Amino acid sequence: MIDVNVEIDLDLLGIDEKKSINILKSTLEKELISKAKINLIFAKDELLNNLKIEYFQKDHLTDVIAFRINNYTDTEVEGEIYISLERAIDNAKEYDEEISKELARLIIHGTLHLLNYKDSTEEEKLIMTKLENKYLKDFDWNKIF
Amino acid sequence: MIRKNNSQSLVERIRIFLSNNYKQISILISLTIILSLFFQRGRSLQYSYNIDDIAREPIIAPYNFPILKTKVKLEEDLNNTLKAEPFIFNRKQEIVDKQSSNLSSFFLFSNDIRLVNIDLLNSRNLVYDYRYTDKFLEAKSIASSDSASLSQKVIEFYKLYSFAKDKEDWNKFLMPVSQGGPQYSLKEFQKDILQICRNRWAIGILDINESIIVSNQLTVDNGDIPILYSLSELDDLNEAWTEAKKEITSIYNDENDIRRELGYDLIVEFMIPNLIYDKQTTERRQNASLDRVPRSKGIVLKDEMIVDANQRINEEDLQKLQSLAVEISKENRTLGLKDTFITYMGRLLIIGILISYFFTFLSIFRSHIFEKWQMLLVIAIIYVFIIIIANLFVYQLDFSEFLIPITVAAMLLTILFDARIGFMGTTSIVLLVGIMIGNNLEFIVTGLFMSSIAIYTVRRIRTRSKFITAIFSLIGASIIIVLSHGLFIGHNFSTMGADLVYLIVNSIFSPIITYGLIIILEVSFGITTDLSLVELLDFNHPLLKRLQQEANGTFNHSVVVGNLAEASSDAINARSLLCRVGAYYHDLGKMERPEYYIENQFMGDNKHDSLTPAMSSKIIRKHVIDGLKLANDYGLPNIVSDFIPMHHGTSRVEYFYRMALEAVKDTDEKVDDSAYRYPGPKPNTKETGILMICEAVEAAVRSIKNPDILKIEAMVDKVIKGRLEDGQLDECPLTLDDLRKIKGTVDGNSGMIPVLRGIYHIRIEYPENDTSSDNT
Repeated sequence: MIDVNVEIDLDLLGIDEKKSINILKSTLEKELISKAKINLIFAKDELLNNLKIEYFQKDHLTDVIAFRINNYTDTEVEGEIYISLERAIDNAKEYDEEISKELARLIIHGTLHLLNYKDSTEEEKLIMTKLENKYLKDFDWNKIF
Repeated sequence: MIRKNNSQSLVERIRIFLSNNYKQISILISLTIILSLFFQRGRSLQYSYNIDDIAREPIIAPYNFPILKTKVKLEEDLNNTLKAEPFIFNRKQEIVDKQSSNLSSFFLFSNDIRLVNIDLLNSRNLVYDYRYTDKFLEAKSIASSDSASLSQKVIEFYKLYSFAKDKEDWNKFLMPVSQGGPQYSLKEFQKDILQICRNRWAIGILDINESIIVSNQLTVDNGDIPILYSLSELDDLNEAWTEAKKEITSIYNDENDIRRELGYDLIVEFMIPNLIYDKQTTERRQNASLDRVPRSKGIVLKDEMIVDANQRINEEDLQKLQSLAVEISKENRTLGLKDTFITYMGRLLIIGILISYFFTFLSIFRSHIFEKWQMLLVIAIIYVFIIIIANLFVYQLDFSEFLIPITVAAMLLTILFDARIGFMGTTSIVLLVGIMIGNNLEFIVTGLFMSSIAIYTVRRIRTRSKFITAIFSLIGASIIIVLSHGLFIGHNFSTMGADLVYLIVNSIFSPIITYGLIIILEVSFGITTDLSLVELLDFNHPLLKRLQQEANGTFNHSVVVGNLAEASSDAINARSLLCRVGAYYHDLGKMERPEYYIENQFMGDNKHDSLTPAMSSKIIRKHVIDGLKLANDYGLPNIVSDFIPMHHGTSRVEYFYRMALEAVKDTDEKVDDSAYRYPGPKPNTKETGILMICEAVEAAVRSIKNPDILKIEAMVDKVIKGRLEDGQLDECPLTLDDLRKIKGTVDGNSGMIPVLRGIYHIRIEYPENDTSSDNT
């Protein structure tokens, strides 16, 4: 049973909540996870920045933060994913991508983090990016924003 | 009434009442005390009658007291006394003697100058005669010394006798006969003038103007025996001059005789008053005799009947009554501490009774006003205002009691609260003032009548022009009340005229004062009257303008709801204007995200399609908070912004709640009801209750496909029933009967169904006629 709860900052309305949930669920299914309880939060830079300072002692803008609430060894995945819509829009402009695709990538990226994927080394990063690209090809992220 | 079976004892209930209402109670107690300060002290009020009033009870003298003179009589007496007390003058012989010698020295001096003039003439002739001899120089020096001594003397003369300076006649007077000087005997002239002066002095010349002498007689003290003269026997200076002139004219009967002019000049100079006013003694004597004038004219004995019941009061009775009142107040002033305390308690009690009459009404029938201590404070201020004005007008300034602006209180209470409060409040104020100015029944009747007219004219005030209507209605009422009192009691027309003028002045100014006070009270106590609400109806109000531009669908929805709400509240006599204003502003919050509300979705997708029900509900519910924020930013009065949260109460966002239920129907999950409910509070007034129903009805009826009147009626029933069952109307004072009236009937013309009928252009057609599809 996968339970996804989405929160969108009311100043950032316009995100297709249902498609976001679908992308998250599909990612989990591809990763063979059947039990999960996840909060997906679309927020402003301000909130993400504060979280970053509080939990990682780093003060810079960030596009996605994922918290695994229970242990990585548990079969059920419990966690929270924070995504900054403002970062997503900026990134999309920078890489000349669609905002929807960028948002979908952030959702997948955050979900993968919850599943203990890391991106601290170049090697790890490459693995994650490959996976993201693969999933993006399969999922429907059209007009997510 | 003590109910033993009640779980709370009486004492307990009183304690709870006191602790809940201590602010109100302290306001009322201070009001009573403040009012008592402006009441006339003691019992002096009980016998206040006017001439031609009918005595209500026999009045018997409680003790001996003097009958006071009327003001007019007393003034007359004092005046006569002053006339009888002669002004005192002293005859001064030394003035006469001194002036006589002054006159002779004047003539001596003038003679002297004349002689010097002759000397100068002679010495000049000598100079001429000796011009070829050796005595020429000697003669010339003599002439110049004569000339010098002459000019010195002339300067000295004019210095002494400045009246003669620069006058041709007097210059000639100083010349010797040969040079055009006086041709007449100077001795004779001097004698004549002196005689004329002495004639006047013998009679006596007063040193003050006759017009300031108030007494009929004068006393002249000659040094030994004072002699009494009548005023006409003695002259003041002007009269003496006139007399002297007559004498001169008769002595020198030739019109061109120069002595007429010269003599008169001399008289004006030398004939000065010889009777000197003794101001100090005169005033001392005047005061002494004024003090001896009696203030009373007889005495009323203890137990003597002054006037019997039902007897018309004449001038004499009135004077006795007023004397009694003065005597009583004098008694009161000398009362002991205990008696003062007792009379003061009496005053407090009577005021307490009259005030409680109104405030009991408030606490029972208008508890929502009684519960707000600020509102009680406003009412208390109105009481104090009127009582202070009444005290000022009647006791301090001695104005007519008809100038007391009782109608201001009536209109203020009516406009700030409602007509019933206005009526009850004014009745209590009128009675208070009536008792304060001396059990004045005529004033009480007039005040009540004028107030009820005022209340009637402003009871549904929406425009300022109503104040003009009020002025004219009050003037009309003044005429009627003055006529009826006049005819009933039998006033003469001049009294009636005066009363009418006072009342008309009052009628003109009261509405103007009221208008000013309303603005002040509105601002300082946060009361919103219909006058300010009307301003909020303007579609050019920045908020409405924004609503129209940014959320046009919502704007139209608000206007339609406004129509429904006004009709509904008219049906139950609620504040329809407030309902309409509330309706216009109730959905302000939708301006923030207009496209998420169905009424603004004119094209394209439904934004909610991509959202989960929980998120959708969150967005929808947010409009209440956004609305309150906007209302606060734009300074909407609380009474209007209350409609924003209350029009949804704590009801559910039903559509998304059902979607959420649908979504979890196959699982064992539960939907959190509270996530789909508005924050509240529930409607707590009739008006907010009406708006809740109307706005739900409007939305629901719009969703009907092919509406006909029966479908609409069924829908209205369903909405009302739904709200009732959900408990949303639990806190508002609408009764089931009210709800029936609000709904209205299909063929009626009050309530909301006739309005809906109009909106959807439905003629009353029943399905049996089989024309139900013809809904044009």
